[in-house]
Amino acid sequence: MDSLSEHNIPWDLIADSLQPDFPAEEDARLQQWLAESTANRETYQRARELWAVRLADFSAYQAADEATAWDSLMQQLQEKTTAPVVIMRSGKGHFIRKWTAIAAVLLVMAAGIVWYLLPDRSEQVYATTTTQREIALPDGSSITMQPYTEVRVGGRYNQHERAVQLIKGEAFFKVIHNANLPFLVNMDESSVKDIGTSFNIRRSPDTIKLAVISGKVAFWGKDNQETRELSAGMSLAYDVVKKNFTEWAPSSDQGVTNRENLLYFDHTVLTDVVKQIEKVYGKKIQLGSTAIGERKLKADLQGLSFDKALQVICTSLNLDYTDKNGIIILKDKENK
Amino acid sequence: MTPEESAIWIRIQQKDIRAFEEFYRSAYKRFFLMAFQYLKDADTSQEVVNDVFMKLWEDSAEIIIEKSLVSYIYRAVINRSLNQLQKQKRDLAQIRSLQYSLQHDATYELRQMEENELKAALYKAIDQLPDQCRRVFCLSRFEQLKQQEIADQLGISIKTVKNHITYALKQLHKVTGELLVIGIVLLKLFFSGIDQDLGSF
Repeated sequence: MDSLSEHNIPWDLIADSLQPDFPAEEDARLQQWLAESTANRETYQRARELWAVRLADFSAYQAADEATAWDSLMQQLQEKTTAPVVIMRSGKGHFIRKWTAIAAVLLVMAAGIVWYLLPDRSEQVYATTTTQREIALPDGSSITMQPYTEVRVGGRYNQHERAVQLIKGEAFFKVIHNANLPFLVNMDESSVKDIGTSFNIRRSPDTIKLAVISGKVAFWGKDNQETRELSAGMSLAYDVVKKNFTEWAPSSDQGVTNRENLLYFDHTVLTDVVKQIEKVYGKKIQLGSTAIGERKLKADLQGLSFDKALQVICTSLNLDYTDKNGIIILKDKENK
Repeated sequence: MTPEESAIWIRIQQKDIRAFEEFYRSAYKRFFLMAFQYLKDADTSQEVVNDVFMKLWEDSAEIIIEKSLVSYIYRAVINRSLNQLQKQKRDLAQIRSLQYSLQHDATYELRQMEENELKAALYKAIDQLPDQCRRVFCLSRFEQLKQQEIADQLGISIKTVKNHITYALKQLHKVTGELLVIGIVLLKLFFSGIDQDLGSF
């Protein structure tokens, strides 16, 4: 194989060639580089494979949650250990087996009829009380539910549609875009359809507030049949009583970040960050000194576990943390 | 088995639930990824991995693992994934061909594991990219947004977008190269004699 130094690889050109609109003159440059050696062609082939094939399952990998999976495994194990054991005795065995088989067939038939008649075969309703919760959906999308929120996910999700219902409360939706199966958040009075990636909805009896973090969404008012398209950074409210859209800016509701209840911090002082973290995760945090409370954090902690969020804060602000009887204490790293 | 694997396996056999949980949590994603490669469904992939772990826990006293715990679980995950596909009656010819490869091609399983380990390392590397770089890269690769759209969405220049994508690609290429050159050789040594690890799965 020809020798190839990393410095001689035109990475900018290779990166551009993986994009949909690769200009002809750049393509000519790339072809020229490829023609120079086998090593160049192998490097390019590897980059293409990486981009097109090896990264294909990343979204699913990212959404896979070992904590949820472990909980499910524990539940399975517990169910198995508490399941009743039926012992068939000899003598009347044949008779019992025969009637057991008939009963089983009838039971399966009845279950089948009920299953068929049910409107949504395995819909799941998720509810939070005092803490935040993240739901990983089968397509790799995720919903971060704020406290006191209810979300319904239909049993046919990701089959012919990707629709969820925000019954009450507030949730952050991170959507894996799929043009063939648009992601839809239904509410009684309105619905939100994703055209891009992530957004937050807060539903109360009189208003529905939408803030778009990235990508684009279509916000549809069912009563007035009006649709508004919102891009990243935009927000809008729907007045349930007046049945119309009204201007709304998240920053006017809360001072912590410009996206209420979310863990996006843009040069936010640590004192405010801590208040928000305590609220979202239901944990108690103390600052080792008042001086560190003035430090400013710029970080996106949305969707992270509490431990991971703490690690990010500590790394960003050069801090250490200790856990004393369930209270997290943040201290300057040098004081340790 | 490596000394680390031996220590874990002994504790699992002694029904040490903490050791079992620790091992499960640390290894879950790589096995999930293997199942997902076959099943393309997150829920079913989780079920398959959990079935394998449940059996491992319940039957740990009877299972004999001579070489590698990880390879043993990998094989079980592949087998169960194929069984699951068969139950779903999806592309039976393809399933038969995969089952044939699994039984008759000594290198098939190893290649699957190599590819899976490579993917897991790549995904971990994406997670470790600087925040903005990862965001740009994901919008480009997974949301299929054009560079100009990413620049508009994040309020940065198109040149910065290009730089982030180039940097990410370079880092990931480095991971691929390192694993292909060094890692795979080690993996082969590690998993040698894998055929003897046939358990009750």
